[in-house]
Amino acid sequence: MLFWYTVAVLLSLAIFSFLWKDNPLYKFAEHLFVGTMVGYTIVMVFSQIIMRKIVDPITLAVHNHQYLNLISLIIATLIGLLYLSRFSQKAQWVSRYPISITVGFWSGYAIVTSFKTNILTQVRGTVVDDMGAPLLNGELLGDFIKSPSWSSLDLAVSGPLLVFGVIVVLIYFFFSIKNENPMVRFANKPALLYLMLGFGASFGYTFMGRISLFIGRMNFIFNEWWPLLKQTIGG
Amino acid sequence: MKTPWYEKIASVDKKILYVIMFVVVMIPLLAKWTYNPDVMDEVQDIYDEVEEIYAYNLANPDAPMGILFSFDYGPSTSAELDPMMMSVLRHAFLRKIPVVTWVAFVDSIDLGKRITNFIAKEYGAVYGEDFVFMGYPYPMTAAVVAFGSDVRKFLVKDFYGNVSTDLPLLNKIYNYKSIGLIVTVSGTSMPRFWVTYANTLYGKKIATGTTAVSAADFYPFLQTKQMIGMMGGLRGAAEYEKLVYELETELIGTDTEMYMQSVYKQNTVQKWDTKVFTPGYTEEELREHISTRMTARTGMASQAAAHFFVIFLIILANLGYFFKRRAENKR
Amino acid sequence: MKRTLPLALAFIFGLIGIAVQIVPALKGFLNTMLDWMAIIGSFALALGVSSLTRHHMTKIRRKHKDMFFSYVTFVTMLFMMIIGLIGYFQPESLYQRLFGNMYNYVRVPLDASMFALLAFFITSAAYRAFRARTWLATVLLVAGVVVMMGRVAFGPFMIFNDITAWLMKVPTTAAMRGLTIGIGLGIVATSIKIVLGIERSYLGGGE
Repeated sequence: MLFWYTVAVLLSLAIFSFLWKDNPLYKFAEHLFVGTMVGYTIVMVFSQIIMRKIVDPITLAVHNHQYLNLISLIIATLIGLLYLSRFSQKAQWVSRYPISITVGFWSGYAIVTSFKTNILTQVRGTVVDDMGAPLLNGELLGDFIKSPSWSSLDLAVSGPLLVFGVIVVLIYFFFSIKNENPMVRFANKPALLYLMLGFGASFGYTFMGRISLFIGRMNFIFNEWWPLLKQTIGG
Repeated sequence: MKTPWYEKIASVDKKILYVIMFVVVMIPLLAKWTYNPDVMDEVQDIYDEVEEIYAYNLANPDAPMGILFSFDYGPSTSAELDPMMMSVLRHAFLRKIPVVTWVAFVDSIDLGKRITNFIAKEYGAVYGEDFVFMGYPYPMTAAVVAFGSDVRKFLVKDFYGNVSTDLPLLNKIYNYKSIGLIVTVSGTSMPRFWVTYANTLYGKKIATGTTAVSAADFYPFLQTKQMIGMMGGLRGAAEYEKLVYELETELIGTDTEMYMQSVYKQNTVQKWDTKVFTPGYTEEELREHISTRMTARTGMASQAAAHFFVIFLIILANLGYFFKRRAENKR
Repeated sequence: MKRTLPLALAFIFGLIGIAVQIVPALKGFLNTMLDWMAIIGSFALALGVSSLTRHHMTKIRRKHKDMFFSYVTFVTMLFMMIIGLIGYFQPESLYQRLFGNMYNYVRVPLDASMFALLAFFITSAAYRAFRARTWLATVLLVAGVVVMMGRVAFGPFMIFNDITAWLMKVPTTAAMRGLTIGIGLGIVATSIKIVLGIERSYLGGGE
């Protein structure tokens, strides 16, 4: 165990040495990485894809005497084999058949569901909340005026601010290129404000994520490898 | 002429910044500080959903609901996402909820296998009865859609080469009707994909765990409840970790080590498949199982230190910029 | 044959894709289609891997000053491949364990460490480039700092936690929703164009 953990620590340090400057140690680690990655992918594509997705279904269909299913699987395999034409300069175009079948099928399949997911439901979410209550609710503003507090202010303004934000951002995206329409010009500044708040928040999060990755490595060194080393040497 | 201070700070060697960063992150780790986060609504919602499935399963022991876990990330973002996956898996196994796991990328097959088995082992879960690992169900879209009717037909064998129809768990849970929740933990846009195919087409509840980098992108889906909850970055992981830690303490007490060992003490039946994991622990393994219960919360202490350091840097750099401009304007 | 038939296939299978989703009676046929897609797609992936391997082979053959490192890549690749394949046919053997360890203690830490370098680059970038030059840049900066504080807030800083939660719930949701709707329109438009044969770039060049 200690051997493998130490290998992992040394390789991590080799990568970190890049922070000082590019050096042979880093290059070695980098190429080692590519080698393991490609080797791993080859093994997995063979065992998990070719065996499990092509060979296994066919053998099971034969075993269970499902001949109709078997015919369908064989047709698919024959279509798939057309990909091999890629290896020949002359017959390369044959590989367009399997490509257009898969690309066509998934494009068709995506149309309705993408429309509903990204557009219909998102627009609905800009009109009503998940409980079906309208986001532009004047009564909430009345409640706030009657009993002012942070939470009632939040309830009163958050919905309208969200609706306003989505509208100005959409106007900004679709019409902002050299448009003198007063509506479009009005939307410009607030849209940028929303976008900058969004991207700023996104940057804060991104920074957080990058640091976490480094913490993960340090955690491995100090909380896993180091205790193991002490344990092995001490006992 | 003496260089003014704002010129000096603008030309600090970046190696100095790197060294300070190293130290800032290291100190909390060495001092073993932990950070105790407040749990946000979007994380609590996932926890509550899992508890609801538990309550449902208590009322319907013959037709239990399962959880589908999708490892939609690779080793590069393990540091943020492993603790999330581990915490939610622990929650499911603690509540004896049937678990199906798979991975979305060829790079992550061993990662998904290792973590699934690592957590299953802690609770003595039996492969094929309490959990299954389906490997890499390529292509993902087809697999997600196939789960709508019968996943055993699409994936005729599991990762280990067992025929799917021979696995008792898959004979109970083979389509979305018996899946109560889908947990996607991802460093990419996979959660959007899950919403598009599993939520929109099949009305399935999606719980997302994501790297902090992509967290902001998914907030629109939270507001519409297309995702029932989200854990964002290490902070989200720390929150779930805390919730599960509290639950575990309540259910099995504080001595987790003893509990884990006791699972394998009664050697009555050889029910654990050694292909999946070896029953029993070495001392090193025990320590690893205990320490992963704290990963996110210890990490968060370093995270806080690093954030304060960078905020200090940003303020310093902006002060320098401000004074430099003022000096230039005077000239 | 070379262009029209592929476009016709994309059109036919595109219509099938729409039909199997919205017509419940075609459920059985949908499963057949899914099997087809899995098998055809598997060949595509196998092809991708073979060209990846060839790419590294040719890199070795070309003599250059970093030859040694190309050999490192090639030898590790072969090594992983051999132990992995033997391990597949002999489960629970030494080979399989070695393959697992190579993944867990060589590939994983290397990948994770390379990404961890980004922590340093973003720190240096934040120090050098994050300036309040204009009002927009100031908004960006303030939002970024508030979120950074908010995500690690404790004790007296808890107010940042609440501000962050609101920032995510309202302005960020609004901005990202604008993007989401834009992306959605893009996906739908491209898909329709592919089915109708207007978008053809996926067929590659040539006649």
